[in-house]
Amino acid sequence: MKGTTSIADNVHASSVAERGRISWRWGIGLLVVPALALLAIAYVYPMVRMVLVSFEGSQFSTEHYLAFIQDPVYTTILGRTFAMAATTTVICLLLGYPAAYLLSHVPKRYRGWLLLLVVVPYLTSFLVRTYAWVVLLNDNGPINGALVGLGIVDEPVKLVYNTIGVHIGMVHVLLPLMILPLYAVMTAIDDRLVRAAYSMGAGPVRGFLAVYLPLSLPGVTSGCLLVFLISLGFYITPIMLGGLGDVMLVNLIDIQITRLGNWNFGAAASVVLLVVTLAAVVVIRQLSGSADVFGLGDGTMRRQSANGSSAIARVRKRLSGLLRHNAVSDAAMIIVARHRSKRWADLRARNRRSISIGKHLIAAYAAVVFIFLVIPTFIVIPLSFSSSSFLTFPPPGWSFRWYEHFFTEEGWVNGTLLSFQVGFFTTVLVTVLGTLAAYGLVRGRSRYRALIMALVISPLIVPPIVVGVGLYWTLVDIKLIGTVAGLVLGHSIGALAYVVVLVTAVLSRFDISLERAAMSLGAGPLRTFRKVTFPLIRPGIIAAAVFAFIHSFDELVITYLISPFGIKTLPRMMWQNIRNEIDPVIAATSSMLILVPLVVLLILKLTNRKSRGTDVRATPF
Amino acid sequence: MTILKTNMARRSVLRAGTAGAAALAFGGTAAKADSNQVIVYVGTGDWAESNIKAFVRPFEEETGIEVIEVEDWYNLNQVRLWVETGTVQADVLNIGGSQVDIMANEGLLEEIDYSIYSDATKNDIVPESQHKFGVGALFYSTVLSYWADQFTDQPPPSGWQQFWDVDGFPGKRTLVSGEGGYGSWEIALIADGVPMDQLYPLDIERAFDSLDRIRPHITKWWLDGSDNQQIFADRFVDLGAAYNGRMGNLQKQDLPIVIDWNEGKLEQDFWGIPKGAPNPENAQKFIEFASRGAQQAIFSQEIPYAPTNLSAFDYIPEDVAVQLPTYPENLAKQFTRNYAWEAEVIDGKSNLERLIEAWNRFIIS
Repeated sequence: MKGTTSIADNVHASSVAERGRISWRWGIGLLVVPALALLAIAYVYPMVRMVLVSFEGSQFSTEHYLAFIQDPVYTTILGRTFAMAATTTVICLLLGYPAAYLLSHVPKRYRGWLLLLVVVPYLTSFLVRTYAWVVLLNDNGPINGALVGLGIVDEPVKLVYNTIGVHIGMVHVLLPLMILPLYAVMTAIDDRLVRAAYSMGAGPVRGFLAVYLPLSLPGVTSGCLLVFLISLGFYITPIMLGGLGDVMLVNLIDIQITRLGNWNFGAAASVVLLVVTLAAVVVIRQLSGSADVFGLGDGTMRRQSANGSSAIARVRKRLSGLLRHNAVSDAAMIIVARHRSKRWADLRARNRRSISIGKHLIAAYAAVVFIFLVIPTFIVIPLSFSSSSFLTFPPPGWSFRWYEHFFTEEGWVNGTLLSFQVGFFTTVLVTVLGTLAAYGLVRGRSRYRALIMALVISPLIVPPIVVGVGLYWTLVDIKLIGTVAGLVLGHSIGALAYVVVLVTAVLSRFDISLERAAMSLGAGPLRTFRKVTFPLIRPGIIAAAVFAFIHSFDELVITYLISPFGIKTLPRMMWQNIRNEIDPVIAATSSMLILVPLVVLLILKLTNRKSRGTDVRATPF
Repeated sequence: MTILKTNMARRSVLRAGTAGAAALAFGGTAAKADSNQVIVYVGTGDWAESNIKAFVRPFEEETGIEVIEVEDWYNLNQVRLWVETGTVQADVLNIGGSQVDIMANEGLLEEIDYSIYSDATKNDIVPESQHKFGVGALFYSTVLSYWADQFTDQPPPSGWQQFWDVDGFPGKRTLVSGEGGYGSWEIALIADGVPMDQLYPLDIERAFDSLDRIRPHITKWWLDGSDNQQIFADRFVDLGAAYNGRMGNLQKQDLPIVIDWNEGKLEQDFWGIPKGAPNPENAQKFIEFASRGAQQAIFSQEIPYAPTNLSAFDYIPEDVAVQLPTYPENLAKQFTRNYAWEAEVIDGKSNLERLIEAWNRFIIS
C-alpha cells in the first residue's frame, strides 16, 4: 500500500509480526513431540516398569540400591568404568581432532575418499572389527611380528587381554563418532576468520586457540559426549580384548540379569549408573563455564551483539584483543611505526613458515590416524579368503569357501536382509523425527530443553539388557512382540540419540541470520528450511543417518530378547559364530559389507562427476 | 569341522518363522491340546548337528511329530520373560546343570513325567540325571589339556597341583573365568591339597587364595567354549583347563593336543520343559526318546559328550568310548560338580551367588 501509513497501522503490523514470531517459536517447540512420542512408547514406558522393579514395585524398597552403593566391588567397577570412558574420550579427541581438521580442509575431490576411510570401517560389524584386533595384537600376530622382527623389542609385547587392548579396541570403534561431528561443524567454520588472525600477527598456535578452537567447540562437545556415553555401555569389547580386571559395570549387570535372574538389582544398578552419568555431564559443563549443558545454544532468534555469548561474538572479541586497540598503543604505534612495520613483516614471515610446518605436521598426524582406522579392514579382507577354518593371520592358503558358506548356509543371507530391512526403517524414522526434534530443541524456546535432551540421550547410557527386559513386556502389551516393527522400535531409541546429538551440534553452529534473511525476503518457514537451512546442515544429517543405521545394524542385546521367532539378525549370526567356532565366514560377511557399499559409492561418484551442478556449497556426499 | 547342515529346508526354522511364527510364538495358556509339533532348542554348531542326527530325525520318524529345531541359545532371563508374559516359545530346552535348580526354584520349569519311561530306562539313567524338573542330557568335563610338544623332554603335568607348579611345568596357561558362575574354584582347592571327595562344601576363601597364586601366570581366562577352542588352536596358550569336547574337535583337526582326565571336573546338561510350553506332552515324549540308550549312543559318537544312560555304552565302540568322560576308567579319576550345593540358599543368598561375588572381588583386587 503506497503512501503514508498511519502509526496505528505500523503498530498493528509489528505486533502481528511479533505474535507470529512467538507462535512460530512455540510451533517450533512442538517439533520435538513426535520424537518424544516414540521414546514414550519404546523407552519411557519400559523404563518406568524397570524403575518400579528396582524399587520392588509398590513396596518402594531401597534395598537393592543400598546393596549396590554399599558394595565396594560395584562402586569400584563403577569408578573404573568412568575412568575407562574418560580416557577413551580423551584419546579419541586427541586423535580425532586433527583427522577431522584434515578432512575439512582437504580439497573437495579427496574429501569423499577420506570420508570413506572413516565410515567404511564402521560398516564392518563391530564384532568382527574387535575380533580383528585380537588377531592383530596377540603375541603371534603381525604387529608383534613386526616389532620383534625389526628388533624394536626382544619379546612380544602384551597388547591384548589387558587394558591396552581394550583401549585400542574401544578407540577404534569410537573414533569415527568423534571425527564426524567435528567434521560437520568444522566445514561450517569460515577460514577467513583464522587468516584474519594470522594477518594481525598471531602465530599458528595463537590463531588456533583464539579463533578456530572456540568455533569448533560444538563439535568437540557433541563428539566427546557421544564417545563418553557410549564408552560407558561397552561390554563386548572388554570381554574379547580385556584381561581379568577390565570388566565394566554393564558386564556385571548383564550377569546378574541373565544368569541369576536378579532383575531388581540389575535395574537398580542401571538407575544408579544413569543418575551418576547425567550428574557428571552437568558438573563437567558447569566447570567448563557453560550453563548450556548440551550445547544447544540459547535459542534466541536475534543475532548476538558483541557482548553476547555466541561463539562468533567471542571470536570477534579475541580478534579485537589481538589488535590491542587502545590509546597507549595508538601513540606508541605512531612513534615506532616505521621500525615496527619492518618487525611486523618479519614476524609474519616467520609465522607463515611455522603455519606451513604446522599444517604438514597435522597432515602427517592425521594420516597416521586414518591408517589406524583401516588396518583391521586389511586383516578382515584377506582372512575372508583363508582356506583355514580358523582366523589365523596370515592365512595358510586361499579359498572362496567362506563366501560360498555365506550364501549356502542358512541364516546368513536372511539375517543380512533382515538387518538391512530393520536398519532402513529405523534410519528413516529416527532421522526424520530426530532432525525435527533437534530443530525444535535448538530453535525453540523451552525451559525443559536440557531435560528433553537428557531424556533423548539416556538410552545410550542405560544398559540395553535392562531396557530390553522392559521393552519385552511393553511389546507384549501392544502386541508387537516378535515383529519387525518391534525390532524397529527397539533399535530406534538408541539411534534417535545419535541423530539428535549430531544434528543439534550442526544446528547450533548454524548462523540464524541466514534464516532470518530468507524469511525477511518473503520465504515461509518451510521454504526457508528447504532452500537455506537444509542444504547447509545436510552433512550433519547424513552423518546422523549413517550412525543411526549402523547402530541398528550392530544392535545385539535388545534384538536378542525381542526378535521374531526363528530368524536372526546379522549381528546375532556373527555373535553366535564367534561364540561357537569363530570361522572366517564372519570375515567374508564383513568384507562384503565393506566392498558392496564401496563399489556403489564408487559408481555414484563417477556418475555424479558428469552431472555436477554449480552448487557453491557442494558437499562431498 | 564346518557347520554344513544336512538338507533340511522343509523343516527349517526359517520356514516356521515365516509361515507360522504367530501361531508358534505364543504358547502359554494351559487348556490347549498339543499340536503335532514340538519346538526343541538344539544348541548351535556341531552340538546342534549331533542333536539333530541322534534325536530329532529319529524322533520324527518314530512318532510322526514334527520337530521344529531352533539353533540358538537362550538364557534364564529369557525364559523368565517368556513364562511371565505367557509367550513361551519353546517346548524343550537344554539347560546347564547350575541353572536347573535356579529355574525350578523360580517356578519356570514343568515337572518331568517319569511315568512314560520304561523301568529299564529309569534303571540305566544315572541317578544324578533324574531331576524332578529335568533329565540329564549329556556329561562333559573340564580337564587339563596341553600341546604335546610343550613337554617333550620332561613328563607332562598331571593333576592340578602340578599345573600350579609354574617352574616345574613352564608354559602359557589358561583357566576358566568365574564370571558366568562356572569357575576354577574346585580346581584351585585341589591344587591346594584338598582331596577330591572332600571338596564340598567349598572353602571359598581358600579357593581364592589359591587362585591368587596362579593368577600372574594365566595368559587368558576363558569364558566360552569357542574362546577355549580358539586360544588353544592359535596357541595363545600352551596348557590349561579346557572342555573335553572342544579339545576333541581340535584333535579331529589333527592338532597335537593331549587330554588328561586326572582330576577333571564332570558336569551335566539337562533337558527341561519351560512352564507354559505350547506342546508339553510332546515335549515329555521327546525327552523320553532322547534318554534312550540307543539314541544317546548315536549322539556320543557324533560328539564327545558322554551319555547319561549307561546302557548306551553297549552300543558304542571301544575306541570311541575311551574318549568319553563317563567311560568307567575316566570317570573314576574325576569329581562331579555339585549343583545342589551351589543352589542352596543360606541367609538369602545362594552359594553360587557367593561364588560370583567372591569372583568379582577377586578381579578388582
